[in-house]
Amino acid sequence: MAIVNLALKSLWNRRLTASLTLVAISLSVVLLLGVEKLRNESRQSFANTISGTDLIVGARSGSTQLLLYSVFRIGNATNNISWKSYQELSSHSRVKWSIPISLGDSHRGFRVMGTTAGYFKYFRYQQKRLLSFAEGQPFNTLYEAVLGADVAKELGYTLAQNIVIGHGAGAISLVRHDDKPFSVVGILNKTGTPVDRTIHVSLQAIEAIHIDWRGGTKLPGFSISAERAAAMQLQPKSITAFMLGLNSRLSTFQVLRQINQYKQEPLLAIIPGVALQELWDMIGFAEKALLAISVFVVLVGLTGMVTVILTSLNERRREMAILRSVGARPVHIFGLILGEAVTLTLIGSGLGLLLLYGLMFFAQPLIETQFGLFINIGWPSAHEFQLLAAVIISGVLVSIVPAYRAYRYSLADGMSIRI
Amino acid sequence: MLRKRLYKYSLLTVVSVVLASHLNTTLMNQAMAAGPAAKANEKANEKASEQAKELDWSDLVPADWQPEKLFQGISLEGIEDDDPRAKVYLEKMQKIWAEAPVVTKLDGKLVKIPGYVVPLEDDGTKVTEFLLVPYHGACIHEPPPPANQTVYVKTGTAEAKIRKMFDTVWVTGIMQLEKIDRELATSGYTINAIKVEPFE
Repeated sequence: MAIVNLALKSLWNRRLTASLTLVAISLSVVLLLGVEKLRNESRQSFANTISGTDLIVGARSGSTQLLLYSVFRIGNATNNISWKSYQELSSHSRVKWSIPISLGDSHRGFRVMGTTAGYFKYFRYQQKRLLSFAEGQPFNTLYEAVLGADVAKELGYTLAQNIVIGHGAGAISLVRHDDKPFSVVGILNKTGTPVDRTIHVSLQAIEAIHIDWRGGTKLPGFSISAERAAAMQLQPKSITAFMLGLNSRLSTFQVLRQINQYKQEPLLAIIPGVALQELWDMIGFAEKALLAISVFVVLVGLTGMVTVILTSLNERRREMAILRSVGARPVHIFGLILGEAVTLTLIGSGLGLLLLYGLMFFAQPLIETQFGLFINIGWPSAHEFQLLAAVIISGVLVSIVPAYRAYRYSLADGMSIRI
Repeated sequence: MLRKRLYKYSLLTVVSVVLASHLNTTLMNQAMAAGPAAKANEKANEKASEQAKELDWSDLVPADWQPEKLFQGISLEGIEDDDPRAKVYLEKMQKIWAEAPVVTKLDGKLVKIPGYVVPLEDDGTKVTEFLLVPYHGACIHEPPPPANQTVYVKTGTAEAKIRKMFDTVWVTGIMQLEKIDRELATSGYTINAIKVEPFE
């Protein structure tokens, strides 16, 4: 106990170098645990976004790309697929339910998605949880919209409010379909997925707002009023993608094969779990590189600590001699130096953990709005504790070097210093 | 291209029939009650996995299933790729594959089977549902394996850390038969896993 006390006091005596060492160690711990946390949480967030969907079908491109634009609203579709193909495939005898989606419009930076009422009935996230309404109900008629939780919160929208949908996916829309406003009829509960940042309307509504558009722009003098558009034939001709639920997951391969070999139109069907796994395999290298870098940063931090202690040893030989003269044995000197280093590592790790949680607290809303990733601030996982333990153990191991050196000095010097 | 695939189908058929003829019918007696085993603790699971009947993929094919009879009258000789008959034959074979029957007496048995993982559901830390297939790459490039060569695995509370796509694992659990297609009255295999461990 006396040694611990002495170690603390000795550190306090050199508080400037000690605190700088602490900064280095805690920052390296923040980096190591932060990388790990971000990796795990982003995986969790991605995995929680889609559940219970057997196949996603879209225009032929890459499986990762299809997954990203259809589910995560990251990137854009290469092409649309025809309504006819959708109808034919969704009436397949092994298909239980289907959700068509149509993307490409936005409202003040939030994506607008055209779909059917089946979306609120069948779409599942986070271990087969269904969407639920905080207020209101699904859309019934043409100019009605259902908002995700974040859309309503950030824009301050309430039920029965009128909103205007813009063309294109940018945050600032210069061309808007302002002659056909939508009324908010429902607001969804928070899900922690991109659904929160989506405005849902019917497929017919997507058709209606584009009905007086020709060749990619609104022609002057050619406009169709909201009422007239509603009366027109609004059957969609194409959609962006669709999700399928099968009667049995065992027929996944068969249906997948049939869709990929569909002769009428080049289509791509993916199993969401497989596509997600492929994505992880792909970015696995980057994750490993990041982890390796942060491990090296921790090593640099610990080396810095050892350097500081080693350089201080020479000036402290007199101190050691005094300690020896009051009855300290060389083993005590060894314990003192080791205790100092371990204290630095422990406090540094603790500070790093605190700093990390502080940072996450501030960064969480930013990450969510910027990337649509929901970072859950929970207790550190077992793996994070393992990493932390590894840092502390390596701290103890490297501090054996200065402690042993001090031990040798005190053996050689005894009570008088011969330099 | 088509013809190549036709050959592949017939080759697969021959292989599976040969395997099926080796089916040992006397080894299926170690029945275990489904309910208690699934809820049992780790120790009981250890015991269960020792008692589990180790299966081979050929054990999943009924001994009396002879797809070569269904393929009778199909001659691949002299068929060109663009022959309309080739397409008809291919579709017929795909249908036979999709309707492949199951070994009904495996229902409710405690089994242990090795295979490759095709992940379906993931909660971020572990794969909770996956398809187990007998060979690497199934489903991606080639015709899918027949219905009786695919097992749907639900891991439930079992620890199943799948490291990558097509990871090879041993799955231990209760085998159940599940209706796939009501119209065609076909069913397939489902395992409620007690244990999923790496194949080493």
